Amino acid sequence: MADPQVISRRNLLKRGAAMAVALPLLGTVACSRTASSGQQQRSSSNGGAQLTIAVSALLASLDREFEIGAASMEAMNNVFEPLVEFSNRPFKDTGSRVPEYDTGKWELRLLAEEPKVSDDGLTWTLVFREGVKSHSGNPLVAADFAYAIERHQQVWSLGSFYNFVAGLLPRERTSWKVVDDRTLEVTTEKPSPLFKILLQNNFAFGLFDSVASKAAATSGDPWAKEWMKANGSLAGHGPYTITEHRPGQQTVFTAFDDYFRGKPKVQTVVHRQVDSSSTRVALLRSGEVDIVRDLLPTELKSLEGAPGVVVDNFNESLFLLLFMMLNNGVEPFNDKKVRQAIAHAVPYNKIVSDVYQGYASPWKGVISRDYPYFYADAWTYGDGANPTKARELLEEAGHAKGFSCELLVNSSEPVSEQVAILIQSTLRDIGIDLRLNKLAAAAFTDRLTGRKYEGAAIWQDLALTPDIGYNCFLYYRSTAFANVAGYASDETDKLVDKLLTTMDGPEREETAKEFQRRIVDDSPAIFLCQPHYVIARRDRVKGITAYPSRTIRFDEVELA
Amino acid sequence: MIKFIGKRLALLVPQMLAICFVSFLLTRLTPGSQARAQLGSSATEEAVAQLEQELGLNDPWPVQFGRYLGGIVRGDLGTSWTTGQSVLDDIAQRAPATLELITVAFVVIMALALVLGLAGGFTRNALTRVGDKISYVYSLMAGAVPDFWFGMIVVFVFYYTFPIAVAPIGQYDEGLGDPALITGSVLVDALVTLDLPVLISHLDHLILPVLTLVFINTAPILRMVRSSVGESMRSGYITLARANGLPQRQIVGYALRSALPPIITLAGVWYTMLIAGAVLTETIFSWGGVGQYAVQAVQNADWAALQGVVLLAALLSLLVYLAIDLLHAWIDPRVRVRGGSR
Repeated sequence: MADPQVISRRNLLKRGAAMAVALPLLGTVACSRTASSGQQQRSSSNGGAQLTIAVSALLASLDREFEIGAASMEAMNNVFEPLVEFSNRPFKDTGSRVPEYDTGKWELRLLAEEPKVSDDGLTWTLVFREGVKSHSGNPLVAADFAYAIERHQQVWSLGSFYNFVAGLLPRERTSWKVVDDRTLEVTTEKPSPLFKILLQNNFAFGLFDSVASKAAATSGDPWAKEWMKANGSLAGHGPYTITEHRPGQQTVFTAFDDYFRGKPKVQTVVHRQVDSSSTRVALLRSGEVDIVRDLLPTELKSLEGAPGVVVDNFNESLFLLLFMMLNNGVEPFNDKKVRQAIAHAVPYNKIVSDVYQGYASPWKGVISRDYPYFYADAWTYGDGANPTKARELLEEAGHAKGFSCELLVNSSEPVSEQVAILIQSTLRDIGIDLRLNKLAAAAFTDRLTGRKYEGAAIWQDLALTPDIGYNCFLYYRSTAFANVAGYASDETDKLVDKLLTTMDGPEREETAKEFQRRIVDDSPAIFLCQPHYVIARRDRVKGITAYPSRTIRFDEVELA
Repeated sequence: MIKFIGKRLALLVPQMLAICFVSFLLTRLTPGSQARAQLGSSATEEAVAQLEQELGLNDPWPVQFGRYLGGIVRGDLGTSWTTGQSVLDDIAQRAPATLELITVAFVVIMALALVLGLAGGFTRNALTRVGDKISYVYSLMAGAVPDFWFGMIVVFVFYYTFPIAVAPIGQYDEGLGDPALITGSVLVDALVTLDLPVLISHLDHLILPVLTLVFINTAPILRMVRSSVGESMRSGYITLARANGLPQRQIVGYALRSALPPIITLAGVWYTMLIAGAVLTETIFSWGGVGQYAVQAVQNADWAALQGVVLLAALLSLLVYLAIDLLHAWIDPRVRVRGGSR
């Protein structure tokens, strides 16, 4: 006799059929709710002082010692207050703004006075503001800055780069002296033109509450690295604190009541993770989110003129650089003539117009066009697209029949792939066969930084500090980590060292010109273009400034 | 039957061990340095080397594998450097969302495939012949259209052009607050706690991703049901049953029993394939499941996270295949005999 507890085959079929009928009904019921619910959500998200930004990835860490993405940088720039900030001016009549890179006009933030340097140019005196409290409630003191640069020195990761370019004393010596609660003296090894400009770079010399950080230290983690990654918000002095972080979903920033410049107007800012750029476009069009970034040029074009949407195409304040890196350590790119041939052949204007569709500017230089000392006359390749000259140089180099090599592309940068395809088809005309190799971001970085690539790589990088010495050291000093081309020249090394230790003035300007002339001639990389910082926003959002870090200061935003 | 189940469960252990080994080896062979990814392009070689030492990446791989297995035994899958959390916690937070999405989609797929497939397979008239043609064209379309593309089209049409769907982000309206956390599946938790606002919002959010998965994945199962049932109906024993004047209901029952095993096999395999299908669908709809997590892990050389996802997918696949075997054994006693349960 059948056990009544056991489901028979016939019963299974019956129940299956019943479910088959019931489920579509459930779906229909759900569908009937959809329209009203959708409208309700959009209107509620648009009301009140909340700003919603759709981002492609959320913050990974609040510790500046480790590699950080755009969302982490934006979080850090709102959680940690800079020592000084560039002043800004209106960008056309858009309601947005661009910075003024004049250290004589910048605003003092955590600093109470302009930094002063001793007559020998080696000792800087910093005086900190009174009455500033951290998110943990501890007052700002000079010892916080001493702790920050000591942490750079001891953790010895990304901070080591900043300590070096700022010209601080070698690792084993102490660069700082706490004079009193408000005053600190910092000593550099040689006169350092970069020390002052780096004070605006929150990742180089941003401050945090040393009391809170020290309290979180353990014997195994004396510099509280684990704590800082996730809880660094407690150590900030900036206008926002992080009140919620759900990896993969959203980060919520809440206005800090005791912010020393007054509580920000926008109470809540949400970083909402939306991986797909097409979904971000749809959300902006509908008004579900207020700002989106990281869109493809075609998507940006589709948003221009859309009702209620403004696209800020910042063709000033250019800091992003797009290179075609050539591995100078391998054949045929160890021959300057081959590199020059490619520099003549590449169609720079076509990259800007066809691939970027106007959301980039021709570069035609070796440092950003908006850096002081940019020297336009150093450029000798015109608009490129000159196959005749390129063939001549290839013939002189013994490659009249051309050659074949690998071209690496980062798969997380779809525009780079389009640029690579355009260059591939152009160089084919002069006999150069580039084999595209698309790699995931981590694999791409590994091969690029390890110089483990056979030929060329499309690479974009952000040079955050508007100083020629900083930029030149970063990419062209033979010993620099980011010199991924493996370029080495004693003459240019000497010029870089001079730029790092010569204070601003005619001598530095002449050195800068000579340096740019040499790099253009040596062409260790191909300087493709400068992609613009582009923000697509709802028209109710005003007050966005195109800072070098390409991050938004939430406290400057106004919602109409 | 219990012995049969026991044997199959015992087989899971070496299978999982082999999968652990292969996933460990594959992630180690994948290009990209985890230390370099964590520190970035501006870090010194010294800093990279120091971090590699701290992470134990310089140890011989058998030592690393032993350490990894030891961690699994203790329930420690490592820490994801991109989220800063334990991989087990990350997966525990995200897996219910993915499982719920693919299970709901699977149930709808099976319901549609069974209703339409059985109707077409059992009945032959002008209407079903038209249905055959529509089904054929649909199968071609669904097979040719990538799921992420269809997801984008669905968003464009139902969210932007005709705004009848909710915003394609997340699993429910965040403004409603979080539902009580019981299983991690918003659907189950909202049902259990009778949190109607969250439940309704969640159903709203489910529609578009489920629609995407259903459109792309129903066609092959529908065709299998139709052909399997049609074949049974044309078999000799059905002709005999008809000749003997058995009632139609009984004939359908016989045909269905014979048609079920291949359908169950395909359905089971398809359920595990939905995990892969959910990766891009989750990305389009910002679903917050393990699919999105896996994509980020690959991009960032987050090996601990990637291995965790591979293990979860493997475990789920093995359990589904076990369930298929048990269902086969239940439907067809010959399987049990061959399996040695008697």
